[in-house]
Amino acid sequence: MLQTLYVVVVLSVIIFAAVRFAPGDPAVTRLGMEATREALEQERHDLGLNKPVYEQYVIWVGKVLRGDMGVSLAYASDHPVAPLVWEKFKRTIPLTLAAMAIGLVVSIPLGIIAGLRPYSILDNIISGASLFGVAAPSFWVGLMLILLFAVRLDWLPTSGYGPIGQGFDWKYFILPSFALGFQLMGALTRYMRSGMLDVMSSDYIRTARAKGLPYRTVVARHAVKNAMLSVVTVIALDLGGLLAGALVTETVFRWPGVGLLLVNAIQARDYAIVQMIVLVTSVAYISVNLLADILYGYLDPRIRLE
Amino acid sequence: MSSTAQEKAIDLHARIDQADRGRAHRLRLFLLSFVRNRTAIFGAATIIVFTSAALLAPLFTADPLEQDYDALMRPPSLEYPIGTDSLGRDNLSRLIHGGRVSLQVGLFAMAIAMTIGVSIGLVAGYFGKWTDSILMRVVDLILAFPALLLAILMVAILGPSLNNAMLAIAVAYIPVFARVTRANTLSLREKEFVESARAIGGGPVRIMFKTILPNTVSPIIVQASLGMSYAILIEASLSFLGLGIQPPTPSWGYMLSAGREFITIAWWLTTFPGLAIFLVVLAWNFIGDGIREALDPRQRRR
Repeated sequence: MLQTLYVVVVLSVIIFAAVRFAPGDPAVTRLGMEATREALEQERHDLGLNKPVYEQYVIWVGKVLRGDMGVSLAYASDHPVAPLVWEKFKRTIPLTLAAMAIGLVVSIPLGIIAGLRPYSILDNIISGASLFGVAAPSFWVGLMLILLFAVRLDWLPTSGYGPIGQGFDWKYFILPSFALGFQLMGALTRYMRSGMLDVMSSDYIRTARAKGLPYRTVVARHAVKNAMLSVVTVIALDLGGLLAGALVTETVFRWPGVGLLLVNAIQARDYAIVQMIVLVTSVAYISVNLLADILYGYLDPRIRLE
Repeated sequence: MSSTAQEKAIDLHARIDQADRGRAHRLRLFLLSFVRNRTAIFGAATIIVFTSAALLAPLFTADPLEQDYDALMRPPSLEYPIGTDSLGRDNLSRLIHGGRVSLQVGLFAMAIAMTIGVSIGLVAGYFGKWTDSILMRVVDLILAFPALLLAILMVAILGPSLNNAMLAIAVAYIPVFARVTRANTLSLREKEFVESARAIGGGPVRIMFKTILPNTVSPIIVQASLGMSYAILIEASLSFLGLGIQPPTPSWGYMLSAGREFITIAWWLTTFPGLAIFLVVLAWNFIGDGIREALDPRQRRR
């Protein structure tokens, strides 16, 4: 707990400093190259840029805690960042959750099948396919999905959020979430498989079999639950990767979420937006990991948080 | 009593010979085990092909920047095995030259990450106590970011370029080396040969780098080879987002993002660069796993 708090505090200092000391003068960015010296001086004063740095940090933290993430410098002039970024997060979060669901639904059964019959033909096919999932970059998988389902078969739209000017449409949601979910499938299948391998050779499974429980019951009640243990940690770790992957996948599908916003903001040097996205994503990542630790202790009481 | 001194010297030489033979024997066992591993050999062969193509590219490929306005967006043919792009540039040549970028980024990023990470791990593990605590807190901090996000943030601040991308990837990978080295150092520093090195007056630096480091090389090599695949993936992602190496230099990630614009009319522009990334990433993974298995047969096929 204390550890988490420490990480969040140092994280905030780094994110603040990184953006504060980034090359480029925010006042110039706001007013343009032709601005007069006096106007620039006035702007710096208004932005609080000539106060001591530590004071600027304290002011910044105070604002962040009150939900004020500053104003966008270039994206939309004088637009408060928080609602803008939140709007985009509302589109990225469903994508990430759907990807996670797809990843789990596909890889857990596959991992169980492969783990129950190690080195069988079925296992070799599943393990081979999972390697593909591990090594193929998700944005390339996305491009290949577009080529197959949108260009060749013409079943689904190539990109976007919905028909132009008509808002959201489910058809546009399918390919991006599958592309992103694909990233998870490989790793999760492998973890589930090795989890099953470990569990199935353990003493308590032999005991359960020996006392005459049917194979099906042993697998469903005893083995799977324990094999899920290792998967829980991986999911937590992968959620960060999934969020980062969403940034790239959104660019592939022109999905108007946080990823596309971040890429545009970086190119426009709109640091307030970059700052907020990185802060929110990192804090989410850290919280999920903390949650996984707690959940892990709950699933396996032998492991408890100190 | 000169004869006993001589005998001792001969005995010592014999022992050193034996130790050398033991080392050679272990190396042979390692190579044998690696060569018998089909996936590892596939990985090594793939990397050798891609690396030599990348190194020798100027000798046998066309200029990747040369534009042929009579051959815009040509599909794969005999003249252009994997087609041309929207500016009439030879895609195969661009693909091979893009391999140079991937190789360069991977090697440099891993070299930097390894140097810093291993040093941190050695110092933290050897000195322990507060040195360990402080260094490992710093390392944990890097781990608090998802790696790709950390790289994106660093490039966002430093500005998009090849060097910054390499640096960002290196920083993101420091914790892996630091943790592996620290864990090994912690157990090695209690061993007798370390104590004997201390007894004959070896200083901390000498003990860390000359006594402990050679005994923890293998897990570091495994991580470096897995790290290569990771570095190549991240570089491709950064270049795809326009945050890596800048055009017109060809790189696989950039080729994919340029090809994305023409996905409805030119399938070859997005298919082949991705295939190259996939193969190289897979190959480095196979090599890493192969080395791990060859070093420790108990870990086989998990």
